[in-house]
Amino acid sequence: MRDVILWTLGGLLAFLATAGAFLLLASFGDDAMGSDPIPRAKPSSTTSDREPPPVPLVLTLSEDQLESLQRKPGQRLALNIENGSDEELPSVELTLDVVSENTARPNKRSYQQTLGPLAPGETTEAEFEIDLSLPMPDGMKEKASPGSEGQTREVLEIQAITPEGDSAVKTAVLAP
Amino acid sequence: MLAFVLALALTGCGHPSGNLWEGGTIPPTSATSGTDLGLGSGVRPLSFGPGDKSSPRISPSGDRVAFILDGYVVEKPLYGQNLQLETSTGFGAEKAEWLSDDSLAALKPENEIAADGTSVVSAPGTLFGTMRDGTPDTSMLLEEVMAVGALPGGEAVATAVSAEPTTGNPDEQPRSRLVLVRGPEQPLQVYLRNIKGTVTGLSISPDGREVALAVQREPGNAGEGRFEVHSYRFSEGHPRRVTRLPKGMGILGAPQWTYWGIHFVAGEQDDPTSSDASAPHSLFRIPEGSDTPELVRGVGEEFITASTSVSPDGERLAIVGRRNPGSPTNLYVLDLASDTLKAATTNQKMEIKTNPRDLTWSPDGQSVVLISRGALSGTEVYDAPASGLSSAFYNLYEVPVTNLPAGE
Repeated sequence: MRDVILWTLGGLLAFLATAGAFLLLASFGDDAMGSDPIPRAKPSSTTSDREPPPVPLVLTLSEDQLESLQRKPGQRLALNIENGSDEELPSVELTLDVVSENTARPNKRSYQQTLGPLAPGETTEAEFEIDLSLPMPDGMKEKASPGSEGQTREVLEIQAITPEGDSAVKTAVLAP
Repeated sequence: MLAFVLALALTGCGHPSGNLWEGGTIPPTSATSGTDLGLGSGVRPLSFGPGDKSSPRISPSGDRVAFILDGYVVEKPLYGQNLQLETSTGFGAEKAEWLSDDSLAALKPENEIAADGTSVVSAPGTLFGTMRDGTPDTSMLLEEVMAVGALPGGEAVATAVSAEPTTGNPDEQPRSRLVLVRGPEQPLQVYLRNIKGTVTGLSISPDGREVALAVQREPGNAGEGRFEVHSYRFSEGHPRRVTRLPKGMGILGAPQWTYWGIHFVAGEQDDPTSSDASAPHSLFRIPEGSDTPELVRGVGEEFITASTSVSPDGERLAIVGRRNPGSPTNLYVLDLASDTLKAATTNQKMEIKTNPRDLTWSPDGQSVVLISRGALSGTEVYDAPASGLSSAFYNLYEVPVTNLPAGE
């Protein structure tokens, strides 16, 4: 009987020691990771010791040009793509989607282009000819949804992506 | 065995932070509540992307939100972005309310062309129930519905329906009737005593026992088109006229039953047949036992009220309005016991929807949800996909309303 009690106590002590060691290791992990399941992005700093890493793709749209677009077919939209990385980009896939703000009638129109190669620091221009005509016949304004206020707007979403997966995106919401 | 039990006791039954991942989606980058998105700090967007949103309603359990998106009904987790379609996209809904079985009642108005041939006016609509099978199918619940309000806890939806004429006389005064709708397969509860006039808005008391109604009498008959406030206690089964407004005054939205009297928004109307929100409206209170409305002084002499909604405890009123004609629209909370008004948003550049149906409380009374977007100033360019943008389009915002600072 005495042997059984000794063995049980010994086993219990060994278990507690092992469990304690695991809990200690887990607490080290908590200190390193914090309580956030998603690692926080470091806040940007203006006085960092190191230069920020170059942005691989920079997409630029002219707001003046956007303002001049008309709700007609054959509208020309030019945009600039800059290779901000230190390496040549063999190609850049450009996608331009035109959708209505009204999700019940998105009337999506998609356009695509492939550019490249782009040398480090090089900027090139891409031009799209897009259809911005309203889906309704001339003289008829698109009827707003019940409860909606005002006319719906057109949304242009432009995405540039490299074969490596680096991307840049711009969304333009056109004035009604 | 002993070791296994001890191991469970010492280490717990799962990962210490396992629940943080459960059921959630990673929100877009602008979803954090600490940043000021144009309505003040602490205000959090609940939806993102294009589309005209309206009629937000938080589920009785508080973990989901339903709203109208470009005329169709959707619902989603309160802080997640996984939209579930509840009706077809061309449905044309105006308002949605939760029912007890987690389905939704959606009001679809029947639009009619007005006499001038250009404008569209709302006629009585049809109430549909959504299914809980993940499809956008609906079933018709009730026709000739003029106003809808939800009972606390999603127990039922109270509706005011147009009652059949009792005589063939074309000059017969329109009458309305209350009907409780509990769900697609539940029997309707009809209250037979009619309400004289057309119900233009209704809301339920926080205890679920009484309805506050805005009623418009037909021009040319007794009442001369004037607006009235009625209360209807379910247990009594008949309406009681609380007050009649002076000629030319209209009620905006639904009167709100509170423990400090019925509150309603009213103002001068050019056209007595429409509730025009463009004219300045004020907040009135009818104290218990009185039939005389009085201006609510706590909001200030120049305050312009657009919409109100009573809190679940019946002690506070959420108000969308402006301090004076030159100030921006904001959300305010009026403490009814002390008659003090506190600002819940600090709006500088947002356009807040002012329709009474676009304002709702969370069931716990901790926050108010409204619809807003950035003020339009021509073409705008953003560095994010459209689906991740909040202020570019009308979206839902959760505004905390506890521990508000005093004053502005």
